[in-house]
Amino acid sequence: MKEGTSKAALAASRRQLAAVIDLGKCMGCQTCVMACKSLWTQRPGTEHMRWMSVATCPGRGYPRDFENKGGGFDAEGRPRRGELTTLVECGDAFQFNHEEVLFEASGQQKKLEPRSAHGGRPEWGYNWDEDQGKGEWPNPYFFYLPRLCNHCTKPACLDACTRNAIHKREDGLVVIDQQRCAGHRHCVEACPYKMIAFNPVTSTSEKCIGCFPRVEAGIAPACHRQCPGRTRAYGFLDDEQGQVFQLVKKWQVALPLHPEYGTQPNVYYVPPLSPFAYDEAGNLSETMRIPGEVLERYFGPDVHRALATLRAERAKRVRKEPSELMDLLISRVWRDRFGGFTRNPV
Amino acid sequence: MAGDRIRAQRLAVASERLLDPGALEWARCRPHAVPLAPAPVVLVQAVSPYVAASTGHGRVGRLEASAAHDGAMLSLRLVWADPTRDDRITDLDRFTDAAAVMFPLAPGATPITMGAPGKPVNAWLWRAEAAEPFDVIAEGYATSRRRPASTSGLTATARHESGSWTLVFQRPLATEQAGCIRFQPGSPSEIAFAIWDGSGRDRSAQKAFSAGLFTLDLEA
Repeated sequence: MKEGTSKAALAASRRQLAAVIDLGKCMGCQTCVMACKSLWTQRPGTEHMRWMSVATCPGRGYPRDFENKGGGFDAEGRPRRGELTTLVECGDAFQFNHEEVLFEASGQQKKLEPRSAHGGRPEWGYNWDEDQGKGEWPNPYFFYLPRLCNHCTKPACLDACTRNAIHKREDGLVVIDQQRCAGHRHCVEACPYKMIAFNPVTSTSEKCIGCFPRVEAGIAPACHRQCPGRTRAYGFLDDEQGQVFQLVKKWQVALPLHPEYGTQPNVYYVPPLSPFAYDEAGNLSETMRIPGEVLERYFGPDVHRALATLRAERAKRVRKEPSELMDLLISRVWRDRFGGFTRNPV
Repeated sequence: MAGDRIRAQRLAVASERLLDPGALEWARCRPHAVPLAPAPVVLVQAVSPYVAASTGHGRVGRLEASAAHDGAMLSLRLVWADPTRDDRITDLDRFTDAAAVMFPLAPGATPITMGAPGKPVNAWLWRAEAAEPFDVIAEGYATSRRRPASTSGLTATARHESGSWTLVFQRPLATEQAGCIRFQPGSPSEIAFAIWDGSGRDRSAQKAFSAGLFTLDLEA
């Protein structure tokens, strides 16, 4: 890492690794979260960290209320002031009374109880509002939103760092040099997705590293590779043979989260189709249960076109006609999803 | 601020004594008032437009500096009011108190920009949560490198009492290390000061800074 390099040089990359997550298939199993957690954040000071998270939408998200904490850029490209996250907002780091329950008490006298890292009963935790969602019976709705660092084309974190500790690699991954980082947390404030977490033990800020040691060995990142639902596509955004290109550029059914944040994120989402809603007479209508305006709030106005394409292509399959897009989303051969990053991690 | 001088008296006192912030011997050194002002963060626009647009930092308005040497060791004592002792990071949005002194190593090396390419500055950085101070070298914003205190033999002790921090830096006058200030009794050095208030979320360029350079006179 060069010192004193210009921001433009730090933000430059030759290509861009990107991912697509199909929200129509994500079942909120958290396997991606565990794959990441067990690989990268089991060190002191990372207990609260989830570089990969899955939260229920609509909901307060992870970290809690990240959408109300500013950061990123305004419509004119000017920096938007942002806020920091707290330990509790990042999911706390519960301690349990295992000793007391398993060895000290007899019978049912003591129950297993979580304690906040600050002491006392937890007031919030990771996935605290799981499956709550919104909507009234008989039309409740929710969907799962897996999130990781977007490895943005215009990373606000990189712009904010006063020590030039953040740079984009040649492959587009955004990384924090742990030797340069001084824990000032300007990056945490600037990231509108709040995907940077502070480690109070090392006094440095940490984030998803895009599993670069795996990627350099031709292996897809753990969260993508471990997904049992085949929700993930991965590869270079400009690889025309890859599913990422085909879903993002060719079919334009995969959209960035909160494009209005202005950082040009590189994780794209296929918005969820949802069951038809019941009308007032109790009959199934033609309207999706997740209101279009709700999805627009997450993925911008393009979501309506993407949903229309998805619906039209699905209708083709219902009519027993071929659909290239449905075949892409089904991915009968898992290797097709990973843009050549298919080597075995073992 | 040009012309303001801080006199480092030659004292026949064991340097270990002076490392104690509360040592009575410090009463023999006249404290010099150093006015501080919020650092002009607008200067960091090219490095961090986010920090350049920030406000509300650098609330500590003054410190008192005293200096002494015994021909081999320089002792520097800073006292400043800070009602809150922030010496632990108790949550992810909490910051700690810190202080630094900075010495230009080349003519025209401006402390407020942490020097410039080819015009290095040397700084001693004390952080309330850290076991040891850092010996810093920089040639402009975003270039600072924290080196271990052992680089130059730097030590620091601090005490928070009655709403004030008292901090003592000590370093041998002579050092062979590159990028470290060398002192000579009888010849002046230049020095600047910075204070970070953890409760005010001060960090990086968000600090209180002495508006200009002081002259540090080491008594012959």
